[in-house]
Amino acid sequence: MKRWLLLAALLLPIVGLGAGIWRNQAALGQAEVWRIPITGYDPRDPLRGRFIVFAYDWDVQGNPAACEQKQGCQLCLEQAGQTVRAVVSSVGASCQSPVNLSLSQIDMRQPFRESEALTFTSRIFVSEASAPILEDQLRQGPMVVIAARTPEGRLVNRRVEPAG
Amino acid sequence: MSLDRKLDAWIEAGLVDKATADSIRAHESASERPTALWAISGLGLLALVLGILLVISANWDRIADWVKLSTHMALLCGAAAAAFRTARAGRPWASETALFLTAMLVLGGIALHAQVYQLTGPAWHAFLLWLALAGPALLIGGQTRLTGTLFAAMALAGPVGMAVDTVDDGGLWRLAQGAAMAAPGALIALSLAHRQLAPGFRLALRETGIVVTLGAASIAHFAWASTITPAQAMDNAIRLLPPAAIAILTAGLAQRSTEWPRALLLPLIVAPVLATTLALAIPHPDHMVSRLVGVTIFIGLWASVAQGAATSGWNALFAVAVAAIGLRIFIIYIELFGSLAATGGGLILGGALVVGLTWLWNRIVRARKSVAMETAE
Repeated sequence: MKRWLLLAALLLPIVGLGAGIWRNQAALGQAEVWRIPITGYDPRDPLRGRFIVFAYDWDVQGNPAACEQKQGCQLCLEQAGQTVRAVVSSVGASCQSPVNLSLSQIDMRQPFRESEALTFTSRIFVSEASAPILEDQLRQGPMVVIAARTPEGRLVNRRVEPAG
Repeated sequence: MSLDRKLDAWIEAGLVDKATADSIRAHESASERPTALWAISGLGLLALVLGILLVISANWDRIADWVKLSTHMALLCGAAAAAFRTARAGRPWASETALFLTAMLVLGGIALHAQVYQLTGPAWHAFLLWLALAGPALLIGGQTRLTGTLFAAMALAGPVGMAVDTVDDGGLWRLAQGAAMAAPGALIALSLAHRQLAPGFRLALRETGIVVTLGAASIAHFAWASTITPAQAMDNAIRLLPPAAIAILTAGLAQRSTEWPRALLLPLIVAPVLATTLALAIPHPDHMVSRLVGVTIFIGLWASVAQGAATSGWNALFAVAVAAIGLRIFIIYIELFGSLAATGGGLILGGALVVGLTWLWNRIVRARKSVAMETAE
């Protein structure tokens, strides 16, 4: 009995992590790709390794007050020529490319002045070798993040690169 | 003095004969626990595991994601298979090492997934997932202090991280934070309830539970040196419901257990929760009287632990309890630090109390020795 229990317990992490890979791969397989301008910098963390913290440099429109309501808000992404428009609306409002802030682990920061727009920040893990290069590029010129929007509304940052 | 030298001295003094001494030597060598060996191997495994985590942190982008994920899954399957095979073959050393590696590879896998799929969030999410995925294997297959300590660390890391991260959140989060506060007590309860767990594994759970419970109660008593408003006291009272429930359950289990000394039932299981409740769930201002109440409760808690430990023969715990009381008395000096007269008074008071404490300790040790001598005669 204990032998079978031990076998099941040892299989649990293999199945759990395997299911995680399958779920993420399936979501990314159906994702739509977005190129979004960003501004950011490169901190580091002994546990997480190297990552870039950045703010999406998109055109924020819509109703920011929806984010202060209990049900929260979502972003509807729209391509407007060379720029990306992020329309703030209540969660569940109809739109073609909704982004769930909680699922995407996107932090929203209120502006200091009323005339300024909301800021949305995120992060991307990068390799130890490429982190200094990317930090240099972030200082020098415009950068974009290549992000995959999965069907459930999670925006997954895949890589950052110069805008050109 | 080593056992061999003690036995030689006892033979010379005519306390035991040679045959008895040889029997004692044989018994002790058979039941000897290679603590140093486990500690060194644990250190080696820890270095290995930190190495794995740092290699994953380096996030080499020249290696494709699927190669990294496949290699990790292959290593995990290999470690799990080794743990199963060696456990069946009755090779505890190999089995423990493989189980430890399996558990740490699960943590490494969670970190690798976060990196590859850009999953981010509080660290306690990852630690709770680690507990859910790797905890059962350790609980079922673990045999020694090595895996027991790892399981205890795993069971505390996620809940404590959650409690700290959500401390400002109200509602049901207060009960979740209370559940985290109950985790050390739950480790003691687990060690008493599941007699089928291996002795070394259970001992690690119990020792970790006792250390963290007493440590947490000692830290909580510093709340007497700050203001607790009625609203904060109410929040804390809700948070303390799960630890109180676990303490009652554990006390019931300890009452029925032959392994838990009766004299330590209240001091180690009930008193820490009671002291924490008094410190956190009773509104009080930051005042000298509150601080004195806090000091009195702290010393009362540790004095009851010392008394129980002395009665039960738990010598290491007795020494720790006396040291804790001595340290707290010395801190009174720092609390009274101010003018020359107050500092001098604090030093005189603290010094006198510590000297008195050592005198009391010496008396207790002498009394125990004379009781032992009388019993022997």
